[in-house]
Order: sequence, then C-alpha cells, then structure tokens
Amino acid sequence: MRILAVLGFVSLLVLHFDYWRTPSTTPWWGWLPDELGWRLMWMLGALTYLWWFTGRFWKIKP
Amino acid sequence: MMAIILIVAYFLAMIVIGWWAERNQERSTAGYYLAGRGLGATALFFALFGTNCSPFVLMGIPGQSYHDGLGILSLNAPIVALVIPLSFWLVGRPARSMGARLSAISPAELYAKRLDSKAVGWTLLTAFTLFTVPYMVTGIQGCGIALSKQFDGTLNAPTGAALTLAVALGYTLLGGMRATAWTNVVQGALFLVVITLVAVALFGEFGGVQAAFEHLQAERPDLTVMDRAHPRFTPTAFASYELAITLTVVCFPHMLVRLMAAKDERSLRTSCRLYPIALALLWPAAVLTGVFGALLVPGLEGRASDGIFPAMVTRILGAEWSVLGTLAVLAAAMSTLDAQLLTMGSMVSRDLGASTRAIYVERVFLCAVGAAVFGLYLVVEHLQLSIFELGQFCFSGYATLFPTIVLGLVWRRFTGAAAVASILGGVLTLMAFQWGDLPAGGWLPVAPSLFVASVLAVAVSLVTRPPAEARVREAFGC
Repeated sequence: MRILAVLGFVSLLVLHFDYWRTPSTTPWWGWLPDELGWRLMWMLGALTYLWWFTGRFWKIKP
Repeated sequence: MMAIILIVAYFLAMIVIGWWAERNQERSTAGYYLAGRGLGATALFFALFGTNCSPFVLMGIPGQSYHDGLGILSLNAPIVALVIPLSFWLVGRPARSMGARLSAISPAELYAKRLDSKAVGWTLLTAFTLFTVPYMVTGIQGCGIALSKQFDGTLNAPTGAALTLAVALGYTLLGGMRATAWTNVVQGALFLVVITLVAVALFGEFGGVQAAFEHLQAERPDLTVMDRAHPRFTPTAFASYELAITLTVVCFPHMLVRLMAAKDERSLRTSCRLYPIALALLWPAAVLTGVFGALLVPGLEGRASDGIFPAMVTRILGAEWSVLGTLAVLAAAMSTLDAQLLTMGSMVSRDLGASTRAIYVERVFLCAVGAAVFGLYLVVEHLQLSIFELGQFCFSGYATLFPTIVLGLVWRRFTGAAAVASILGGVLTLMAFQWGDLPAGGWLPVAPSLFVASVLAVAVSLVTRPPAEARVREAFGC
C-alpha cells in the first residue's frame, strides 16, 4: 500500500512537470485549450488519488 | 448606500460570531488559542481553506493571468491541490498528536518542547515573526485599497486598513480560535460563492462556455498556452516556484496551529478530501476571471491588472453589485489576518512570557501584535516600500523552514542544534541569493536555500548528541 501511495504521488509529479510533453495546438473538442484541459484532467487525477489515499491508505488507529 | 449597508452588516456579523464564540468557549489558554483542540471537520476545513486563501488568490492570480494567461493556472493550482492536502497527513497528524502530548499551544512552543531546546523556540519565533508580520501588512494594505476604491476615495486607504484590522482584531480578541474558525466558514463560503458567480456570469457574457473559449482563441491565442520560453515558465523557474508555493504553505505557522487544533484525525482526513475540491472551484475561476478580463477590460498595464477582479465584478454584475467584489477581498484578507493575529499572539505570549495566565492578559498580547502590524503598515505607506518583493522573500523564507517543520515531527534523531543550524543556514543562504546577486543557474533563491537547510538539518543531527530518549518517547507517544 505504501509503495502504491508513493508511486501514485511520483506519477502525478511526473505528469505535472510535463516538459517532456509537446503541448497540442489543437483545442480539445475544438474549443477547450489544451493547457486548461490537461491541467483540469490532472487535477481530476489528483483528486482521485487523494480520495484513494484517504480511503485506503490513511487508516485511523483507534 | 447598499455598499455601506452590506459592508457594515458583514463587519457586524463577524463581531457577533466572535461574541458567540466567546460565550461558548473553554476558559483556558488551550480553549482560547486552540478551541480546546476541538475543531470538527466543517470548522477545520473552512479554517484551513480560509486561512490559506488570501487576497493573493483573488487579486494577484487574476492580475497575473491577465498578462500571462492559462500558464498561471498550471503554475499554481495543480501542485497546491495535491501537496497541501497531503501535508495534513504528513504534518497535521503528528503535529496534532504531539502538540496534545506536550501541551504545546504555539508552533514555536511545540518544537521547543519536542527538541528540548529554548533556542529552537526563539529561532522559530524570530523566523516566523520576520516572515509573518510583513505578510500581515500586505493583507491590510489590500483591504485599505479595496475600501478606498469602493467609496471613491472618501474613505482613505489607511482608515480602511485600520477598520479592517480593528474588526479582525475585535472578533479574534473575543473568541480566539473558535471565533476565527467560524468566521472563516462564512468568509470562505463568501469568497468562493462570489468568485464562482463571476466566473459563471462571464461565460454568459460570451453566450456560453464554448463560445467564450472560441472568442479567446480568436482574439488572444497567446493567453491559451503556457509560453515555455517565458522566464516565469522555464523548467528551473517553474520547478523552484512549485517548491516555494507548496512548502511555504506547509510552514505557515497560522496553518500549523489550525492543524494542531483539530478535534481528531478524522477531521483532518475529511479536510484532506474536501480541500482539493474547493481549490478546483476557486483557482480556475480566479485564473479565468483574469484571462477573460483581458478581453473585456483590455489595456491594463503592469500591476494595474491587480484590480481586474473588482473591475470584472463591476463589468459583469453591474456597478450596484461591485460591493460583492470588495466583500470577497475583505473576506479573503480577514480570514488569513485573524489566523495570523492569533498565532503571532500565542507565540509572543507563550514563547516570550509565562506558560499560563489569565485570558485577558493573552488579549493584551494580541493587541500588541495588532498595533505592531499597523505601525509597520504606516511605515511602509510612508516610505512607499515595495511590499510585493518583501512578500516574495517571506514566502521563500517560510519554505526554508520546511526541513525543521517536517523532520521535527517525523524523525526521532532530529536535534535542536540541527534545527537552529538549518533555519539560520537556510535564511542566510536565501538572503545571499536574493540580494547578493549570486548565480543560481536559473533557479529561484528558494531552491539553493532549501538545499542548504536540508543538508544542515540532516548532517548536524547526525554529528550532534541524540535528543534525550525520555523526551522523544513523550513526544512520539512510544
């Protein structure tokens, strides 16, 4: 579980520091700027990770 | 007239909450400064959220986005939405339990007791004061300007600043932590609703979300991308800024003290879940207000764009509702200011004075902090000092405290000498790079200073005598 938590965090960091990626000049669905779409998707991923983190990893000892 | 009524009603509501909190609080120092270590999930979440969202988000972020576009969202929102909630687990959990075991009220007191070193308490108190008081000045300065603009200069900025400080001090004096937590519920909800309302209404101006972005793409395509050649967005500048913005928040004493006031671990965990949702509402709305502001209110040069949020409120909702923008700025500023007043008051009281005393004496310490902040504000106004640069220095300074803040809570071998060396080494390195024109290879000064602080924290711990086992057991509970 600890390994998954670390791997998830590191993966999100790698996706966030996205200088390895060439941003698309074509908007998503023809109108949403790639920069905004990419970051909003990332934030959705981070939210999912945090909900997993708080649900499965962060156990409260009685 | 409506502006006066709404602003007075807002100020009165804050004082009433302070009075209510005073009637319902535990009569002890821990009751006053930490709400008896009993903040439940709702109050804790809003206290953390409100404390962290200052005028920087409502004024600074739209202002920067006005010039630099969506890259400002990339630079700020994602990393903050991930790391700050995680810090509730990494820092909040041990700080809460260790604070309770050691009966510590202030952050400086927590580390002084944990490391069994008064020098650590004094060093941290000095560093926190050095970085927090100018930050508080920027808050009341923003409120002074907002109120002055709202009333077209009939209320001057120093009077507006004094009024804001007096109200924040008033309800903080009355109800301590409980008052600041519950006023933050109202304030957080207020600025979240106003900025979301503005963001939604601006899409209406263009005839829908899709039409708005098509308009943006056609008129200002430069604002839809993050220009990676821009000095702000080069890989090293981007990485250093991410370090500063995330680690700074973790080390804010006013955030730390709220984490120490959590009722239980469950409240911290709930805040960890809710925090990214609130940020996902707030930050894109703030950035889009600035980006679309460049289309609707063009021609603002330099720092004039800092006024784009109130300008957009007036442009979109009409002049009669411009007061909503002022109220949102006041709410954002006061939700940070009250926490800072309380935390600085507790540190001055606990770390300079006796460990227990009557609550009215604690209130005298709070008034002294308020007076000091207003005194510095007057000096800054008189000398026309650049608070912006000072603010940047403060944020970087907080980040250099990160090794001490985290290692003190999670590493049993960490020593008092290492904490002092790390803080002093980090701050001096920061000053050297900030003002000494040392080459940093494209990195911001925060990066080398954090490196030095981290190395000193670990190295000095390993070469100095380990802390007394009895104190370590008491602090860690095992």
